[in-house]
Amino acid sequence: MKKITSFVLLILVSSMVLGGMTNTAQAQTDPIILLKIAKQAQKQLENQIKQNSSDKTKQLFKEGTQQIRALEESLKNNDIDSAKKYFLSAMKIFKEISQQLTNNQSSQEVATLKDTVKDPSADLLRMQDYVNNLKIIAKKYSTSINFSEIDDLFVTAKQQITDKQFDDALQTISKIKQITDDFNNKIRGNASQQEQSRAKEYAQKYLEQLDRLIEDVKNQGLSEDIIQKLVDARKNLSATTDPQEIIKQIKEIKSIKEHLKAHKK
Amino acid sequence: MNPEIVPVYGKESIREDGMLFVRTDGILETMVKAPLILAGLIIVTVLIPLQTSFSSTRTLELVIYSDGSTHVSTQIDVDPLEPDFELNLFGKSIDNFVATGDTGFLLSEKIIEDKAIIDIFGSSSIIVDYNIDDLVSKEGRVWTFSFNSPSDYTLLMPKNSVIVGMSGLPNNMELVDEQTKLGLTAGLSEINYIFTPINPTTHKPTISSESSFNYTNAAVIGGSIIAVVISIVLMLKRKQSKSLPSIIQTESTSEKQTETKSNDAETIFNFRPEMREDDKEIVKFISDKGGQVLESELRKKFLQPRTTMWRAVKRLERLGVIEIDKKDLQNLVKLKKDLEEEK
Repeated sequence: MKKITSFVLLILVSSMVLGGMTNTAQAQTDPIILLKIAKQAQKQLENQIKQNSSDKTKQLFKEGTQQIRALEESLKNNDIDSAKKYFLSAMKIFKEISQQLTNNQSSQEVATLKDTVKDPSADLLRMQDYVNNLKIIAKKYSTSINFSEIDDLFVTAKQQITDKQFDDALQTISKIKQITDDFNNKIRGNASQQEQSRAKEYAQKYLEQLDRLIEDVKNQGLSEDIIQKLVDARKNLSATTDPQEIIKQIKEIKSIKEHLKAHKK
Repeated sequence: MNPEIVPVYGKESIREDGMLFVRTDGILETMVKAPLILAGLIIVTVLIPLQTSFSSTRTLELVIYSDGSTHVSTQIDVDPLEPDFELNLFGKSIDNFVATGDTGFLLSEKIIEDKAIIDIFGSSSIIVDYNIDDLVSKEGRVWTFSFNSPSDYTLLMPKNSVIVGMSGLPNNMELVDEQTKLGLTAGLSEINYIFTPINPTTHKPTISSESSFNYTNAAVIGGSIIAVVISIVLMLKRKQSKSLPSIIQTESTSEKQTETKSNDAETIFNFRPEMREDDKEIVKFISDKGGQVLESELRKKFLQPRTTMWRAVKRLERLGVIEIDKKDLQNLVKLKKDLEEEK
């Protein structure tokens, strides 16, 4: 019977270990993806390499193409390790080609990101994602915030971008930002009230733990000084209702606990 | 009462030296089990801290916007006994920061440089969203995403971008609404990408998978109705043509032959005026390619997922505009040459 139990235990442990290994295996690279990415890059660069591109660039492109052929060949032979190697090599070459093509362009500038983009589509999309997030939170707090105005502004901004009226779109986005800030403040106002009650609840649980600790410390006959510190900290924590003050008091209690541990050792 | 001493491990265990052997056998059995338990416990104790301490980030999702800023969304397991949690941010230029607890309520935070101190007050899991400008740089036309991730993550590339350099290996890739979504492993990775020039013909047919899904049933019903109507019209026409004089019949036959040979897009559009705009683009492309293309070419051209393109192709097949053949295990999509005959 005991042998059976031992056997079952062994199987359970093995399954845990093998289970973990399977997860790792699932996270491994699908080699077909490598070929897809490399071929997309190759196709894109092929379109960009012109007759007047330098011989070096053309030579590099040939090398990159050879790496892709080798990658394809390795995949056919199911040689995944070589496939990975050829993929990285091809992508390294394609990166170099991209940089060379860029350097050949007349405007060689390293600019800050936002300065280079006139079209504010990304700004709008970013705001849309943020507002969507706020909508979910506002719903959670059952706030009376009306999002219809901001929704209309999003529609207007999208239309302005479609019509290439980027300056107008930027102004609309600026309005959206202002309204979003107001909403954010309202939601945070609601949130802070609830946070206070959550903080109090959390402090109450902590006080119960602290009472048990004080009792233990007294029973162990530890230093009166430490006991007094814990009692004082308890008093301070129970007296406060402000979330930030609660955090501060709990941190103090934690440092006394650390001191207590060191004292026991 | 009849007191009887019963050996603990049965009679077989009793040998000449009595209890000593019995106990030894018991110990042996225990010893056989002990290493197993010990080995098991060691493995478990090694694995459990690894899982809890290193997998505190449950999910990590990054989205790159077209101007290079990145949206970070992460779910993190935190210690519910702690009043606050210090989160390392992936840079200093943080915007639109939102942290919510496991009940969905907003959590207060304080951001100091690349750290956020979040008041969790008993939450065991938090969701954090923010935008950051520190992960992508640009040189000329080449954009570089550089990120040292603490955990495995997904990365959604911007629309119309093509990856031209990669320092690591992705473990997954899928197309989400015309955007490439990569699955990447923890550690440092660098991805170089460029934007492709926007080709209006390429972007006209925005066959989103959602819209295709919504229209599928309508297309099936519509297609069958059209098929029934066409067959009735055909039958009527055939009856009429039989009664016409032979001269007219020969004239119409010659006309029919010229039209039959045609695979011009305009002819097809006239034949099927109800055709969707995005389907028209597909037909036009096939026509430009000499009347036949591989389905994979269509997917590449219109940047559509396999299922979406397959639905479009089947829709055109139902309309009687194309036919699907097999070529080297691939689908060859051909414009039908006998449109008028069917009509």
